Amino acid sequence: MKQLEEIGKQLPYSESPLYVDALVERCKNKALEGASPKAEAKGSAKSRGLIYALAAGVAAVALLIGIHSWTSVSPLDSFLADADDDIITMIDDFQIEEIPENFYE
Amino acid sequence: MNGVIMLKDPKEILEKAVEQYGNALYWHIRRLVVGHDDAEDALQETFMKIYTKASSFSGEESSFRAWVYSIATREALQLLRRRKHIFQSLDSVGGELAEQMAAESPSNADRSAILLQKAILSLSTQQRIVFNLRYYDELSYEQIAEITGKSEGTLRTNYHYATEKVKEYLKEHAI
Repeated sequence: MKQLEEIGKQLPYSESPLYVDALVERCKNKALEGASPKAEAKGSAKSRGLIYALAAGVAAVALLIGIHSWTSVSPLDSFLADADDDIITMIDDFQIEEIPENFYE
Repeated sequence: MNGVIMLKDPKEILEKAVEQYGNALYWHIRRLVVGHDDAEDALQETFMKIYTKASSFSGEESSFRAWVYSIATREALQLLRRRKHIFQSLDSVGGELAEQMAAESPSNADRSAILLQKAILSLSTQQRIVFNLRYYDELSYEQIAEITGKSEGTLRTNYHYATEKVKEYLKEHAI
């Protein structure tokens, strides 16, 4: 059994120092590209695109809700459509004065 | 002016960080995130942060290493947070990372080296960071304190218990 001191700092990975050197250089160059003003501008364009897409989505949802409200029948309309003539007559004849004063108490 | 880096240009600061600590940062991140591709992503993010946050560096030569290591450590942890499940704690990802490490190791890798990494991955995140910085990067407790924002006393305790746990793990899982 090997002790901690015997194992030392050896890692079970195969990347050579040369490979890591190249990888570090690649990461540095990508980072510089990513942080350049051109990339930031691209980022801004992306953000603007996202905002436009969100705005379009909101507009579409609002339009759908509007169409739904316009085409759908409200509960009151539905009730009146199904109500007997007697009930419609009662509603027509109903006078506001008939509500007792303490009705809402 | 001794002890002060006179660089102001972000690109020069990044070049200096890459030249002095580039490889060490890769291995520091790799030991934390395990996967090669993840390590590459986190290293690139680290370099981007060094470049974009260059103005926040104090300019003290002595704190330059701590500054770049703290960015690298944050990026590595950030990557692990993104990978874990929503209700999973960061400490509990060690098991999955150990499996990934074993899978990514070449077939001829030293089995005791794999076992040591598994032992380290069984530690809590904080213990793992302290152990790696002390054991592999040979940083002083003062430097690790600057990187992690923890007190030297806490770090000494972390390292002591981490070492004990690693030794115990190696004894229990002896090949």
